[in-house]
Amino acid sequence: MSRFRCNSCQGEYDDVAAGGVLYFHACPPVTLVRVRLDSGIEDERPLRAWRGFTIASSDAQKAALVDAGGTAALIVVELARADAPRAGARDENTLRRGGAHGEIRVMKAEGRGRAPIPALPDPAAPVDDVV
Amino acid sequence: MIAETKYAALDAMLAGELGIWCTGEESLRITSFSGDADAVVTLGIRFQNDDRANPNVYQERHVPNTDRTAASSDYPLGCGWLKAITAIASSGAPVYAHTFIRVDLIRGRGTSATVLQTLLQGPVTALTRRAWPGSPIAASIEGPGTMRSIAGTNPAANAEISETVPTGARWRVHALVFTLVTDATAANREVVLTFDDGTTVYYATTPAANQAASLTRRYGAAAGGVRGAAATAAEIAIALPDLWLPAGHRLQTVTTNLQVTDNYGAPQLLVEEHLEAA
Repeated sequence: MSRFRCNSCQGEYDDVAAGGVLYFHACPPVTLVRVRLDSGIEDERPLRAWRGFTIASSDAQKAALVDAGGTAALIVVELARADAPRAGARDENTLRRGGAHGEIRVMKAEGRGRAPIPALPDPAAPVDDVV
Repeated sequence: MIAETKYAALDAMLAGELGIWCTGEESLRITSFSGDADAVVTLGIRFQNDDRANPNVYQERHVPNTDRTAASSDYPLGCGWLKAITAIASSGAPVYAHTFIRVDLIRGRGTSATVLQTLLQGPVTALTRRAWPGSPIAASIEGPGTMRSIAGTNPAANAEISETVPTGARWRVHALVFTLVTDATAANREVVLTFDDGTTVYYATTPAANQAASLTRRYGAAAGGVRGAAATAAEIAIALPDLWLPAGHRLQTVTTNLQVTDNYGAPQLLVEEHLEAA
């Protein structure tokens, strides 16, 4: 069993689940958030792109946050949000294609690949004494 | 001598011993579906060649795919009577209903082969055999499924939980637990658990409680569970519907007011899984 980080969504998972059953990762959709900036301009971006901003659910909440000492330019008001398919999503599940000896095993979507996460040393492992 | 042994085999048939006459053009084809990483299926075959007095008893070994897709192997038969077949998982430790086989009598080779008769069909384990003649022809979605505890993907910050029913499987979610850590942004997060067909949501369920800023809450969902009236300490209950989810369907969170550094932990699911031997 190995642990991986998906390069498309940054999710982390083990490739083999309990009981030796393979786990097939599929990326979640991306959350698109449409906001009104302090300048009055409306903009829609993935949620992660609003890092550094506070997303207020209403103008009243924004006003309260500003009164509490927040910076108005860094507080946006949410207008709508919706899920959308993630660009370059990875889906490790198998496409079903018939072949001469059963099915041909093809991954649905490679996405941006995955990277192994190095295993941490076992804290319960014995440590050699230095003589 | 050959004539005598032919008559001996014929005598056995006339005495009432069952069998299928094979001309030498037939083969046995085993098709398997398995989600186990190390399952091996062994066929035990009893075949009465027409030029021998005693039946030939031998084994054939078949390795299923590990991703629930079909794997098949063909084993040519000689000229004579096919008397009996048994099938068992001879290696690995496949749990019940997680390795499913079908054994057909075919004529021809590869994709152009003609299926003459289905002899065996059903789940096998290291202790559960299928036998011809004797075992009923069972569908892969009959009876109880395999109970599996699955650790899902730990999503990145600000990403929702999303678990997809794998290819070749059908899931009934019995229980689900996950945590949500909220950042300091003042907003009430409301978690909605949705079920969709890969695109379109067909069911959604919510807890009775919101989660405010700077909190860690564990959400627990169970089939037949009761939707709680309010948050209890760090635990929030969600009622799960009793649904069978086909392959490709998804179970996801959709979170109102989810903030940029809010973070879900990896979900842990208890599912009942059937193989969809398509």
